[in-house]
Amino acid sequence: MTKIEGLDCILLVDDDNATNYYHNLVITHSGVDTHVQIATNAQQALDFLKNEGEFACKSTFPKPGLILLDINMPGMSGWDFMSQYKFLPEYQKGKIVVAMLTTSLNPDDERRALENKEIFQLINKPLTEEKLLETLKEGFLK
Amino acid sequence: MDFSLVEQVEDYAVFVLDSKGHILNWNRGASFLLGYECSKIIGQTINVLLPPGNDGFDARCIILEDSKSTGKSIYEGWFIPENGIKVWVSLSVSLIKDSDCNLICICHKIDSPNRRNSEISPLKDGLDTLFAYWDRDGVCKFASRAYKDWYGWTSDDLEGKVKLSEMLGNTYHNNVGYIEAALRGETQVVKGQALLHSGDVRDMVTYYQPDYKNSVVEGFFVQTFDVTEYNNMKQDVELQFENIKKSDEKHRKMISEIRDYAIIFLDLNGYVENWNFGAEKTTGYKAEEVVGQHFSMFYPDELVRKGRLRELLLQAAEEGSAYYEGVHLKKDGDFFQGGVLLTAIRDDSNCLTGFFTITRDLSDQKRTEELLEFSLKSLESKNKELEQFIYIASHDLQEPLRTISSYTAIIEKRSLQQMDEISKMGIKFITEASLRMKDLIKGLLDYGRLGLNAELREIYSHDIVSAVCQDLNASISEAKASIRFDHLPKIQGYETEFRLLMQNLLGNALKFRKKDVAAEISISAVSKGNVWQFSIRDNGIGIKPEFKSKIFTIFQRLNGRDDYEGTGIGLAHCKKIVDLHKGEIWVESELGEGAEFVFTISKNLN
Repeated sequence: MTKIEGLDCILLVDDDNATNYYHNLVITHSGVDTHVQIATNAQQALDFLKNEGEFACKSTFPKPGLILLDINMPGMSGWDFMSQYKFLPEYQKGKIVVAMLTTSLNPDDERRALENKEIFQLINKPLTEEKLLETLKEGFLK
Repeated sequence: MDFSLVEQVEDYAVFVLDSKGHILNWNRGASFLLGYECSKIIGQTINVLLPPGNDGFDARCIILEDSKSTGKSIYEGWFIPENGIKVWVSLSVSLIKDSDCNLICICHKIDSPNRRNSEISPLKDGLDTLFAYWDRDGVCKFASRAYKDWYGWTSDDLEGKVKLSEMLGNTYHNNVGYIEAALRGETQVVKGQALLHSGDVRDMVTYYQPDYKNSVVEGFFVQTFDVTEYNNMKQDVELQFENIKKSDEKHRKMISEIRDYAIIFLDLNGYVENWNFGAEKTTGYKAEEVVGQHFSMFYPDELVRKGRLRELLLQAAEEGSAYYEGVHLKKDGDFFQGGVLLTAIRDDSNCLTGFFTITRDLSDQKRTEELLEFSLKSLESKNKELEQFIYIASHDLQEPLRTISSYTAIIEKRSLQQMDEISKMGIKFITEASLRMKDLIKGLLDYGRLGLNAELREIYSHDIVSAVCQDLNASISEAKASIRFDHLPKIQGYETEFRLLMQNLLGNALKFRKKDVAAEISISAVSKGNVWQFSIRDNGIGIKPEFKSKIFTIFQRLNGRDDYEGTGIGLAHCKKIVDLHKGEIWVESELGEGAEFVFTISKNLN
């Protein structure tokens, strides 16, 4: 198990349980030592970052190193999440945000992700060990 | 007949017609009276001179037919000279013997009946004209009654007895100059004013006309007219004419600036009098090239040959306006599709004075229509393709999906016991995902099929809602829901689709209820003009306003599957069904405040 500095927690935001389960498996298999937090909708993810709602009892902010954000979610989409996320104070934000796209079916989403300064990278689903390690290398080890 | 005899005659218009009304000869008098030079008129028919419409037709009959049957006829009525200002003429027509039924017409201008009655009237308070004859010695030989009355004499006193100097008394020396000139043989015309017994001041004109016998002036006639009314009228006419000229100029200027329509003024016979900028733009001709030309120059020869233009002018003259749509010619030889409206212009006394035409280039419109038709056709075929595509894709997707579901089922059955936690989860996810995919494909398939082979019929929406409630009985009791509706109308629609629409909306109202509150759903319908407007209102979780339009998109879901199951296709179905019924669907809601789905069904679906 490798511990990476600044990566105490990875926040997975996806409405699909199978995807979350799979991404959690990928992270475990990659040997990275970190806590994995799962949010099945954007609101839950924001609540987690702000210690609100079901996470209200916590006193310290989790400040995840990496947020893997699904764009296409029912109700509040990844974009809706980002539009609220950008108003969070720095200590509540994650270190880096990576947008997860269901292949590149929608070129508009790809363009939007590239234009958004808060988004570090975009990755096509599903996450693989190689992609994860590459992202971590660029985001944390450089 | 030797026409040269009358060729130079100026006092009378003389011309010769052939039996069909073509003008064969035309003398100087005719040119004076009617404007046209010989070269312009010979070969044309008498119609050119006649007013359009019934008047012209009647005139033609009198001139051509009556004279042929009786050898002679007289026509009194309007003629239209070249300048378009009509004149009232007396025309005598005689058949020329030993010819091919040629007719000789002798014509002169006379006062029109209106004019004869009103323009120069005799003195208002006299019974007759002021008229008298005085001889060289100043003795009255004859005086009209009015004349005597005017000067206050009776018949017996005046004639043969009283001398002019006596009668005129103090005023004699005012008139002596004219009297002496008349006796010298010079005609005198004197304008002046006279005070009547009544106190009125009238404008008068007096003529002194010498009476010659064997070159010796024997005496003179004196005749006095009251021209007050004539003068008034003249002033009036001049004033009106000025006004007309002013407003005419204004109108003409306005019209000449109009660019999008060609507006052309024509005289009675279709010759161009005025030409606006729009006409220049449309046809390419400049005003100086067309004014004075016949408007047939803008139309194909064939149309002219068929007499269509003449017909249009006649129709406009009789009915007020006429319309033609078709080919118009341009100066450069090109043509365009245009619509032209001919409108008759009449003066205050309802006399036809000419026409104006408004022409619009319809090429763009026609092109747009063609393009639209083309787009519509390609859209239709694209739609068909799309339906086909959805159908085939859905079918073909089901094949591998069946393989996945079947084999996961076998693996689950045979080896679940030997599996570790992760594999078990894997199998669980695969099973769930395949089921969901099956639902999605079915939804897609249904979506593609919606409205296919649907039959329009009378449907009793009340019965349909009752039946849907029966179907949803289980969900209704589970939600402890109360559903209210009464007197839903009979409508025209597609029954299967309408039922699916109601099922989806009611199903949603039940599904998206607040977990701890009994569901209350009410369904109603009202007639609004051309549509029936249905409403399904619930007290459920409601929808955030920003999602109001998003929810009708296919596969769009607002909630996680853990909370509310579904494929996100139901409202897309609803939208398509409402589209099929030429209606609209929308939602009124606030988050947490319940939702009201409203849709309309057109009453004119046939």
